[in-house]
Amino acid sequence: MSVPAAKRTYEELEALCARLEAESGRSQVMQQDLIHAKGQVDGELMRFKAIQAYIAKAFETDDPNDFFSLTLESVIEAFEYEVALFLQATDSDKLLTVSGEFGFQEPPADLPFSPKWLDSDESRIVGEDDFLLMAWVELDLAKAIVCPFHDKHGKLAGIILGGITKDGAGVFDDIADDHCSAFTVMVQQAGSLWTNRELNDEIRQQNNRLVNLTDSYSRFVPFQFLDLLDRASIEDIDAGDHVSIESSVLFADIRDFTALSEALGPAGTFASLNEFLVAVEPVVEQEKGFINQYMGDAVMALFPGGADAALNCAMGMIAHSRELNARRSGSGELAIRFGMGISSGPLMLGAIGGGKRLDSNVVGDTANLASRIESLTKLYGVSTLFTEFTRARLENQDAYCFREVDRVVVKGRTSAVSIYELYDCDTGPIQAQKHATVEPFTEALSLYREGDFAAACRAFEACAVAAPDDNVTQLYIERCGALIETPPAGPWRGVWVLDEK
Amino acid sequence: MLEFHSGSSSAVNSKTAILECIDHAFGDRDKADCRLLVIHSTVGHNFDQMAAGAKEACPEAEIVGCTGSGVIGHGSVSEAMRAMAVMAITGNEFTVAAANGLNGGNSAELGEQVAAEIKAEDPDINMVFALSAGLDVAGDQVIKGIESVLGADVPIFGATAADNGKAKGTFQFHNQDVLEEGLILVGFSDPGLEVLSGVHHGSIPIEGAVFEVTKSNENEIIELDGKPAWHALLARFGLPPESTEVPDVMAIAGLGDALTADEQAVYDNPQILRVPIKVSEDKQSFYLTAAIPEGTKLQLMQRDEQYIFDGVESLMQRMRDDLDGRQPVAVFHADCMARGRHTFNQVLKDEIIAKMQYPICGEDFIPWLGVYGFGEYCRFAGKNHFHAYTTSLFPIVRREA
Repeated sequence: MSVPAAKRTYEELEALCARLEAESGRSQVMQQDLIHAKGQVDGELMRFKAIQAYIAKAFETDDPNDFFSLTLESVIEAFEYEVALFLQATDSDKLLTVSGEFGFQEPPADLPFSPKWLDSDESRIVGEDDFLLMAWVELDLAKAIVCPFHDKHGKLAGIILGGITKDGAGVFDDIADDHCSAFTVMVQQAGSLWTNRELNDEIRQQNNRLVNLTDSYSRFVPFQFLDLLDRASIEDIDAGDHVSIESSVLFADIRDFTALSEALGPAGTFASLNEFLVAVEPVVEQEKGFINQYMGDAVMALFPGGADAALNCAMGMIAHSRELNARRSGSGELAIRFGMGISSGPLMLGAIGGGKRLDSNVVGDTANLASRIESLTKLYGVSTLFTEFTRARLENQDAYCFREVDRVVVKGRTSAVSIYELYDCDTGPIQAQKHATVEPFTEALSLYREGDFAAACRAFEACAVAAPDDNVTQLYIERCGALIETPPAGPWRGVWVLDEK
Repeated sequence: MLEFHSGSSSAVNSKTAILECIDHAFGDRDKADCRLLVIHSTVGHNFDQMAAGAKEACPEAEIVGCTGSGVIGHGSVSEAMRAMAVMAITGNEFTVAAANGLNGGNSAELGEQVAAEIKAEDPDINMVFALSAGLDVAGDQVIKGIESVLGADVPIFGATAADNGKAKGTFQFHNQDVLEEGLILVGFSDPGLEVLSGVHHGSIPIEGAVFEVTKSNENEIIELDGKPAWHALLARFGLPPESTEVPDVMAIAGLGDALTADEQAVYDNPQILRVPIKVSEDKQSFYLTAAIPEGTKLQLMQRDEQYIFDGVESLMQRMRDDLDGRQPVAVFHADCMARGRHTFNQVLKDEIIAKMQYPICGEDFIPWLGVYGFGEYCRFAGKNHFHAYTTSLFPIVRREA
């Protein structure tokens, strides 16, 4: 049985109607609140996207000022604050430097600070009555959010601030508590990126240093030396590492170095020596060789590629030295002259030394012979000599002007070796004289080898008429004369034995 | 001949933003050819930097514009605190005049004054683009003043400025000046162009919620139903009048003013909407964006999401009919700030803007500049009207030969 509804007075109905109307209106307000809440979700999404975009862009930013601008603009985009600051810690605990700003008309250069003011790694929202904004009163902020970031050692590196000025309060949305976690994430990302940037800078500097160091090392230890030893870096080389290779060895030694040193003094000698080396070193490189050792006034270069390269290098070095000497002569300096000896064959290349110092070294008859042959250039009065081993390895003999000048047993060896003069290295007139007398010289040399010193002497004298500047011919005329006067003891094999280095 | 180019930017640096907008608008073309630059920006931007950047990029251009709670470009809509969009116009068939000091009491007078200035410059004006302050203005009176000079047949289109919904201040731009009580009129006189207009609001009446304006002064509503107007209005929402501010109810307190039967048919709504835009200091009266005579019945309305979407469909159908196959050379767009984030989340907002742009533009790029303002100047049923809570579209088309 239903209970009949109580009768209501007009006033009661009117009041009920007003209440229902108000409830209906409140539902609209609530609906609006719901829309506002949805808007906040959009805001969160926008912040998330802005932070993501920031991280992606920040990785591509090289310049620190661009990084500060990007960071602050991203803070503004994500949180829609009015102003922002990028503050960096200084050596002084009492000051922060303003490294970047957004929205301030006249930002300060620095701000006072005490580490005690921030006792957390999290974001903190501060009002104008907070001691922090009271200390930074010149910023004229009504409200701000601040969050510190730290360096790789955990030390305070800086602070990022977002804020609303007193003029902007009411226009810009309030800094809401729910910004704190996202702001912390963004600042810590910025801090990490900044720390990474510093680390990257350090790495870049270290890399540059390594590149420079490697470059410096390569001046002491050529890359080719490492290549031949099959080592990637000098750090990989140990004492005793070695390799057996086939190579041509070129020895170049400055003539009259002692006299040159006396004339120039130590500094002048170094300067001249370096000037010479600067002039000739590119030629070695050009011929795919490398300088294995500098030995006072001498240079030893290796040409693993072949004998032609060594001869080409010798001619190139002579050409460059002529240019150098022409310039030196113009400025009244002494000319630098040098002799070269070349031999080819197997040799052992390796690292030698004790525990603390290492040096690259070449061991083997080929290197010794090249050195000995170089010494003979003074004896024969020529600039460049090479051995029969080099001649045997020439791929293009016709490209060079050379002649056999002797068959010798150098000091320290028992077997004889034929030596050849590369008269391509002579100046034009002398080269022409030698070239014109190649055949008579060879015939004269045959007579000499056969032991017919008188006939040989006459033949050499005939050559000397045609080639008066040929020092080798002169040497043979003198040698034949001496042998006529004092014939060799024992059987004659046409070989000249040298007792001196 | 006027030509239109539009661009937008989300850069937060104001100079960067305006330069990006102009670059987007002109592409490879010479931006120095720009003669009129219409800028819409949200209120977080630095307007001095923006104006300086605009002057630098387009030294010969007259600059006009206003703030909104959001900006709309072709394929982009943003209500961020720092958003910007421009319409850059080449050609000389326009004239601009501006005045400051606009309020609800002098709207007609200032409208007449500024209209007289543009007419003096160019008697052949055939459409007027109006931008005005948004917080204390009687938009219908502005129209009345303009029509008193140019006649009622010249279409007036545009928007009142807005801020980010806080109703603290709206800004208008005229060259390097930033105005807060400005009225800016651009009179276009390219004889080959005409402006179409389409408008719709998506609010429905709340049954029985009708107020009678028992005391008013121009756009100030002093009493509703014999009670202090602000109190009477807020009582409908159960909100305390002393602590409630205009922004708290701006999006929900639309008041409908009845249209004539003919107008209703074209408008697709029985009422045109007025919005409370300011409350008196004593929290007794409030101000609407149109002058309301005593005795007017105001119907409390509420936005309806479905009706908003349906309304856009019907608006676009009418627009297609009006375009009759023509492609606009540009589209100006005024949308009520209440139809932005105060109603829709980002996804729905993008969707509703796309529902307007795609039927007009298709896959083509048509210069488009819109603003979320506090009110819209839009013609319908052969008359210029001032609206609130609407989407108002203004395609500029070449006249049919």
